[in-house]
Amino acid sequence: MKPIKALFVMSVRQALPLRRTIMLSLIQLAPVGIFTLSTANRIEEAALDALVGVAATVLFALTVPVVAIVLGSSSLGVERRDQTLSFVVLRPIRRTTFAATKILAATLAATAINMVGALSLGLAFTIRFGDPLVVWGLVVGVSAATSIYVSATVPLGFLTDRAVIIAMAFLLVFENGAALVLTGLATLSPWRLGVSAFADIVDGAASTAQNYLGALDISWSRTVLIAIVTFGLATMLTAQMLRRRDLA
Amino acid sequence: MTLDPAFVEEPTIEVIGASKWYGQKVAVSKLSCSFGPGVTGLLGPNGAGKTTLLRMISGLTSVSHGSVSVLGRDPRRHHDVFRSVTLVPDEDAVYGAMTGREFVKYSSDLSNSPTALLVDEVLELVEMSEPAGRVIGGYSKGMRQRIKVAAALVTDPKVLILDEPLNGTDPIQRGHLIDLFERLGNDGRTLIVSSHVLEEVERVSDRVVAIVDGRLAAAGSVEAIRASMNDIPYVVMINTDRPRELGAALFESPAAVGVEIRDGGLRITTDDITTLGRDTPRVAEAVQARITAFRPLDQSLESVFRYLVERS
Repeated sequence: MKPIKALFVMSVRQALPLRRTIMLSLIQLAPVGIFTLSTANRIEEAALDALVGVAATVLFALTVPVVAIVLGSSSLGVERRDQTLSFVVLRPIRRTTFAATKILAATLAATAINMVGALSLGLAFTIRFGDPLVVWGLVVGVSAATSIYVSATVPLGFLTDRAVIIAMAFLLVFENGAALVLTGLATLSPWRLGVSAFADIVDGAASTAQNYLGALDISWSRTVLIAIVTFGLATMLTAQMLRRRDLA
Repeated sequence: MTLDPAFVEEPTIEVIGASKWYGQKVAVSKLSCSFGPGVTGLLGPNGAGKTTLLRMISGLTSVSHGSVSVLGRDPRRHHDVFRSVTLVPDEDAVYGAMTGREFVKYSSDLSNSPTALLVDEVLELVEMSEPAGRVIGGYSKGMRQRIKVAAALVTDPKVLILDEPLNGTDPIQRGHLIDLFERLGNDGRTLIVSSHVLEEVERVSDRVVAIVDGRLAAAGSVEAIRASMNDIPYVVMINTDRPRELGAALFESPAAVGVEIRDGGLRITTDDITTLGRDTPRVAEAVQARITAFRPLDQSLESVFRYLVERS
């Protein structure tokens, strides 16, 4: 366990340098700021609609993916760029264990930052309107969406230096563009899976949330299952690439 | 039976007909050799394929054809090999934000070797105890090299592969590292030390494997390689105030194969540069010529090696 623990701690540390952590955490305060401004004089029912709207369009569709994409892409990408990959790979650690540890560490780091957004937004609602399930719903939804984005971008970051650009293009062009028009594509959108989990947990959020979900059904359990499957697939894919490709 | 000098009797690393190509470019071509306990110098000019060979041995790079085994196993398939094998790459494979001590400790933790050495002990060995508390980002090239060596040594490897480990080190540090490599080799570890500088390799190791253009150029003791290189025809340029007289006199010397007057100087072809160097001042004195320069042309390591490859 000692090598895995060392790798995990180092990977989290690499993912969260102070300046980057502060900057990304500040970005995470955007949803709560917008929510507070937009609900100054609202009653609880209208506030819940506003919460779902802000959560879906700002937190889930923008700030959560940005953080997850940046941290996921850099997990192996930075090791490759800094030529430290050989230092960690030439160790008696199985490639699968190595890949799983790197993805898990990046997921934990990204989730920690994204929790700033989820908790601040959830607590702002709960303190004013008193529904603690909102916090729980946001925590589950954000964690699952973060995990899916990170799992997808870690192998991408290993493959190419342009992982962030590719993933951002997917987010902006496909998820926030094409999937809005062609609602059937919404099932392939990780942030919508997060909204789906959130709306399933929070009473009264489903009807508003459905406006953002297209053809996607509301279900927290399916979202969590997809997050777990994506993690497994990403681990296997990354391990396979580490085995097959010549390493820098 | 005489063993081919490219091979050793008790190999820990065996390279059999190994080739590596990247598209049309051949980096290593049908290379066969082996390495055993002690220090072996891997010599070759820049771009000869040394790094590719070392990366194939360490499992970082796949072998396009042939095979490589380390301690009897394929390093690409058996990650357990890395309990006993460590690579010190040429590039700065270090974490700039870590302190030297953290880096060496991280290396120790990652390997989890039961025989891992103490971090402080290893830092002492490479004389990095004092700067070990500072971040690696602020280290000089020589300090980075030494901290990489420390990170490798802390895992107590049986096989240590060092790619140009003396690059960027000052003469004193170089001397200390060479002594350290010698001690490690005498302990029965297998060390491969690559370099493009013959004198460096000569100081580090008794046995040399020389490669050029991805092919084995020569192998064996340093003395044998040196002897091969003494046979190489050199071209020497001599600047003098009396080129005709000196040229005619030197032509009588058995060391001079050809003499030309060019650009106001003498261009001598010789197959025995030592004798020519000894004879020239005496001959110059006899013909009252003043020599202002005596410099071998085309004596780069590349040209020497290319000659060895063509001859082999």
